[in-house]
Amino acid sequence: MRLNWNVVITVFKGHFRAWHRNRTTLFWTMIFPLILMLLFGGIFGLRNDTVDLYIYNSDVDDNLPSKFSSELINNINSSGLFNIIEISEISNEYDNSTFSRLLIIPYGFESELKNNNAQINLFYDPNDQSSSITLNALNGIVGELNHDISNNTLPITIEEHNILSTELRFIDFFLPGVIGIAIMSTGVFGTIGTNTKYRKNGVLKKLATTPISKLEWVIGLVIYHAMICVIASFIITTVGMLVFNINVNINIMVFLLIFSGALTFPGLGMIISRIVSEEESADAAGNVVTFPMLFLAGTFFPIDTMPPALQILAKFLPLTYLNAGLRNAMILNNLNAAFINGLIMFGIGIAFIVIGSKLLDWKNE
Amino acid sequence: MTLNNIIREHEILNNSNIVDVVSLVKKYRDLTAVNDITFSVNKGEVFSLLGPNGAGKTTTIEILETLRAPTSGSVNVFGYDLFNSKNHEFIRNRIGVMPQNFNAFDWLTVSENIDYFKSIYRSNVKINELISMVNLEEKKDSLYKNLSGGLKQRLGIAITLINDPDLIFLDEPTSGLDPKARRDTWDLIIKLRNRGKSILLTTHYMEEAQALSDRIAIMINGKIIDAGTSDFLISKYGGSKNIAIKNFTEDFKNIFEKNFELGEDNEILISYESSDDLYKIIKALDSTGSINAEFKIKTPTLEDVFLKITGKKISTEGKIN
Repeated sequence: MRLNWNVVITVFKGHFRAWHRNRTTLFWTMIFPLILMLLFGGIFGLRNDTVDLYIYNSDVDDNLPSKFSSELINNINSSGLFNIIEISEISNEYDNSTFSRLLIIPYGFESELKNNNAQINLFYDPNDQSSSITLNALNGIVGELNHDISNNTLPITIEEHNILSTELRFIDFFLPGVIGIAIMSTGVFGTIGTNTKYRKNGVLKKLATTPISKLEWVIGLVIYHAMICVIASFIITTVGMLVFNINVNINIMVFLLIFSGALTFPGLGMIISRIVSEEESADAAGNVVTFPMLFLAGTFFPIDTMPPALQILAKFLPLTYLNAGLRNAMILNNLNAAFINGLIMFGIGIAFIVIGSKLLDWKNE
Repeated sequence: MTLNNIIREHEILNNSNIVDVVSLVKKYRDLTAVNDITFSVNKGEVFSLLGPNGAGKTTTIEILETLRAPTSGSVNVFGYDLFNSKNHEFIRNRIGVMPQNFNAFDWLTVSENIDYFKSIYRSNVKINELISMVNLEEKKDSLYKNLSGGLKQRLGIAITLINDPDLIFLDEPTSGLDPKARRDTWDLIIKLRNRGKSILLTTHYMEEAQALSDRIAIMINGKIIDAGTSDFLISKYGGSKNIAIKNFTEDFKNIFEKNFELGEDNEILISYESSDDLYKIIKALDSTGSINAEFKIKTPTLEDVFLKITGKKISTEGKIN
């Protein structure tokens, strides 16, 4: 079958014009995900001003920490800037650590202090937005302690070590989820709305009597959805970076995942609107499918915190792979994992769009 | 244009029958929607399928539009067999279809809607000429959703013409329109007929079929009861013409004795065949001193034909009662 790309572009342009002229659609595709991000990001991301600081104190004798190491920890604690989490074991491998900020007080700290040569080790992720706060605050606290001990010398110094942390703030975790929500709802509800309305208005029937092929119509629809998803992702990411200071990586995997989402969810919308043909009932059916996906696919909280049965269920949801893929690509910069997620999403997308297109029997609508 | 297309074009232009349907049957499991119907549409005529909702009109034209597969019979459009799906693409390029209750794209303007369909056909028809033909110049930049029902219908017809079709299908084109919009749509259909377009129309409005059609097929329960010009159908089934008279004298009544029927409001209905008969009746009114008499001529309509054939009437909603 020969594709007429002019027809594909016409279909795309028609959908796109309708989208940007319709304020209701604009709200649900662009503004609603932003509100969601600002609301949840505000509630869970900005609720306290303290920064988690993991401390491993190995200057211990007979299970008792040395006097000066305890004093250092007390000073850090009394600054009110940190939420101190003392740990008793530590691995030697700090890369890919789950700690964004780790302070190690080495064995012999107190004895070295007497020689004016004590050193503490700070491991931090320079990509972490609170890394500069942590460094400045600890320098201040150590400076005061140095001043108390000696006016002329700097008995305690901070040795800095950069690590790549996998610890995420809620908003870091949530941003890819918001993009996932936008891609899913635009695809599913956009397609349900279009299909049921065009069926009711005789548009699909009219198109079926013209030379346009179903393939040209579906490709135009997918390109339109891909474009909307890219715009929505761009806006959500920009606001996330500006308001929440999120470090985001944009790479080819992000686009692969968005495109796969633009195949998967319109395909799902086509399937739903074929099974439930009435406009109102189809919307309700869309909610039945998308609402559980919203909560089970790792949008708001990690899947591994859910009960085992739900974790298994999550593996069957396309949004799971979209969220995980976007998170790996955009936040964790783990492109290998993102590629696997992208591949799974692409496979699901192709399957859904083919089934959806087959079910779009517009001749007999 | 390929040689094959030129040959086909020639065949269309020289074929007097644009549509030929013989013993067409369409079944859905146990339901027979179209039951052994035969008709043809000549080049340049308006042919109407007239009947109530559920008569099988839409199913019939959707078969001709390549939307539904016929169960049995013979169906040719432009001389091409519809049972052979290889002919469908060619037929689709040469027909214009306005489905029942058709609404175009809400958020596109009048000219954008036409342009949308123009690009599907790769048509050379000028958008402004079409807009002007349906008198939508002032609304060409208005969004479709902001148009009135009548204007939407005019745009629907303009879209139908975007590929300069040889055959136009209009499925209930004035259903749900107000009288003014309905008249405007009729004018447009007459304009199309005057331009030599062949039109297949479905309607449940008697006066619409009568006003627009060269020939009419009356369809009920999947069957065509009869077909022909409206004059033919009326003369065959409508009965004679009547004159309704009020305020006449007893002497006048006595002349006609029992050769009249009682009508509404103390009027009597006297049937007549020719203008001579009518003259005699008027003369009798004069001779019997019925100087205050009021009279009006009642000619039979398709409604009378339908009533005669089925014993029922079709409501404005298309229901039979």
